[in-house]
Amino acid sequence: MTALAACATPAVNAKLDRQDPAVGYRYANLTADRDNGDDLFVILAFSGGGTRAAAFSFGVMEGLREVTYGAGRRALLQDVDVISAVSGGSFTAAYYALFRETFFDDFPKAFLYRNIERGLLARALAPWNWLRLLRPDFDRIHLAVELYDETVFARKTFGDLVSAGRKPFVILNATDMTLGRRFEFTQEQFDLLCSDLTRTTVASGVAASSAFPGLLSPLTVRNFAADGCGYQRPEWLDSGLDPRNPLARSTRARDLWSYQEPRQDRRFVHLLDGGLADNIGLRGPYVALSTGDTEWSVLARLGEPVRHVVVITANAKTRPRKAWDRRAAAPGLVDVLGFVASGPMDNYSFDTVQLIRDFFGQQTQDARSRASCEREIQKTCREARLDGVLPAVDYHAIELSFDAVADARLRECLENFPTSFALPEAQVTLLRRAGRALLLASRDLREAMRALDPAWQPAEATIDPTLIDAACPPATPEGATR
Amino acid sequence: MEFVIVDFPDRREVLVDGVGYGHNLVPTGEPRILQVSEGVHRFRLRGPDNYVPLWQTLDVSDTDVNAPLHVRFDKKA
Repeated sequence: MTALAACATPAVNAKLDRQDPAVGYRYANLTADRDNGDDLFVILAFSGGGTRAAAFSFGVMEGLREVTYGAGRRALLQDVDVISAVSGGSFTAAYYALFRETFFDDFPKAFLYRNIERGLLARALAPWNWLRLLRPDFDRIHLAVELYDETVFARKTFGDLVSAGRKPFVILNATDMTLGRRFEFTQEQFDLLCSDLTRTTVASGVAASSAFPGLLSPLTVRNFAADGCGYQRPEWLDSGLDPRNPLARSTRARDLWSYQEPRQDRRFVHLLDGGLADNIGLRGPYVALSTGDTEWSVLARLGEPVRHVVVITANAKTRPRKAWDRRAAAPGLVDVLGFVASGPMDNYSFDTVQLIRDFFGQQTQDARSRASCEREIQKTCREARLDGVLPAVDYHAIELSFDAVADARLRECLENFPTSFALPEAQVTLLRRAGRALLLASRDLREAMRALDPAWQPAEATIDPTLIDAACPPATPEGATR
Repeated sequence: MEFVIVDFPDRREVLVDGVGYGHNLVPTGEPRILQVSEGVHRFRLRGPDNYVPLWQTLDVSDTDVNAPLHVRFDKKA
């Protein structure tokens, strides 16, 4: 037992000897399987929500596989450039990045239909883990990392993703407890820690991303900045630190710089569930879409070469009925803490989706305003032109959530599925079918696809009523579920 | 969102804060409008340093899609 207790905890992350902005797990180091048409930039965002979110996002990917277009009937799934994922959605995204060829066959068995909670509990109760859990550098999150490493992700590392060298660039998002901000498992982020992400297991990123407060402990990563790695601050971070910037930009830059700033003395970074900072995985894409302040900036690529931007969000948020609405007594401490942990998260997610929609709307409006201005000028002088050429880009935000389910019984049923890492088989299958059906029936998807292929038609998308009966409570006379 | 035109007689790639933003001119030779976020940005051109100034750091704000900010670089004499 002493020997077991003395076993060293495997370090989550390793020191980087020399920072090289051209090396490591970065967008620029991944290429498409085949020419994915550089003029199309596709981002997927997978929300948190345990197995519910993982199954829903998996269903969306099953649908994407069927979305084909153009003369060669290429699948939209092959065009995906970036997947930004949080918590439960991180499992789907990471598995796809690692095991593309077998993803659709293996992921359901490897994760979706597996009782992960039972696995975690078994490890926590195993006597040989008790002494390990007494150590200050070992906690429940390390048991989760081991479980995911052994049973889901085969101990693959971010280095394996670099070796594969294929898009999409999967961004696993956690939350830095000190900053309350998004922390992503990319080399761009780990450069700031003088740490080599290629030696970190993907399971660590997924575990940090899904470390729901209370259920799992935070995952701690080491910051080696004090040891030095020849870190060269990117110019955008230099510019961002200028105090003349708008507050949002300079604050973000200062937060990023805090990992390198000696006075901050941040030798360790404690990470919790990514949903605490952004439960929908869209904050990172928003930075890339609206600024040049990241290595994978989409804004910098507008017009050259990007002409179409498509953002698809799989949002597995729920709206469970609350028993406290039927009682005069005020909710107890557990209910209040549950609300405090998830209520603001949901509101923030709504705001983020709206932020992307507003940004796309403003971009489209600017282009229209310019075109109409030019038409007006040409009424008086046919040869007159406005200054410069604004590249034409079309934008499509496709949000897939249970709100859009037309059938009231099915909608209410989905909105009451719990957040858990163990769901009954029928519920998982229903979530998959719902993800696929919502995607294929989406009006926003139709508009996006017709911009690429005017003749595009969606595939049939219905959900077998017997599946709904198997996964949902019986209908009440009003048509709602009990 | 802010709008910028980089004036330089040759077609060159523009670097904004070290990030490639495509060319200053479209293939037909007209100036291309670049979009940047509001705030401080450092502009320069990729390729030979046959121009002045070698970079410009500007606080970009209050531009309009119909009235972009002009950032001018001249060829060295």
